[in-house]
Amino acid sequence: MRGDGSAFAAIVAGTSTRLYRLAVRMTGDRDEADDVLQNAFIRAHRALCDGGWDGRGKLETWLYRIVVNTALNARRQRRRRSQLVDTRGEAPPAQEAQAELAQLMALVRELPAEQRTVLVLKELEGMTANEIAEVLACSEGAVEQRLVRARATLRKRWQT
Amino acid sequence: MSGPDRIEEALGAWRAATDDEAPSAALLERIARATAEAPTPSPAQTLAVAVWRLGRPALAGFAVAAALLLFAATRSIDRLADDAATAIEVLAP
Repeated sequence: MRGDGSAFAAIVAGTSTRLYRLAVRMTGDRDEADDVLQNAFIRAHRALCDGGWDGRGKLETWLYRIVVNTALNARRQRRRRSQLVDTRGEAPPAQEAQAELAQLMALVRELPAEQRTVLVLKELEGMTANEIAEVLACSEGAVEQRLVRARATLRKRWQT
Repeated sequence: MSGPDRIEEALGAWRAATDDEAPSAALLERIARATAEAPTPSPAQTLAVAVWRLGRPALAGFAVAAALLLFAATRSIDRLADDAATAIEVLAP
């Protein structure tokens, strides 16, 4: 892989759509997802050049982990930059269904990072608990627990 | 409709709304440029990283082996001293 630009281009071509969708779902904002995906691929490229990927496990799982971590870092930095309410990507909904969607997205954004990540990977990406555990480098039990907590929090806060 | 059902419905709507998201051609171009321009490590850097990676476990193993040898040597000296003391006691008139 070292120095092989075409191999990396093939990786980007084969994974960028799924990883971008994940970035959009993690950030809730296309502009931010653009930055997340670009930074994630730069980190992956550097790691591959430095031999930072040990070749164990699936490459895509490793890339998912990088995107998740990059998205979480971006969110932390954004919060540090501004404590004001961030309304990017939250266009005022015109219809009731859109209003519910907007409400859900706002609630999900308020969840603790680990719960939000698990919810996005499970409910939106359709990953199994085992796959999520691999991406997040934690146990399946921890994944299930975070999911239960995330759902409980959503139920409690839903239109209260 | 109950709260949980509405949450499920909203999650489904969110999934559907984002299913077709794809990176723009401009973004892919930016990524290609950024990774092509990224400095690749020199052979010396690559070698240093490889040596460090290979050497790290060996270094740890060496440290453990040295500690064990030191421990064994200390025990041997203690035992030698004990044996000498016993011999002196036995041989002494």
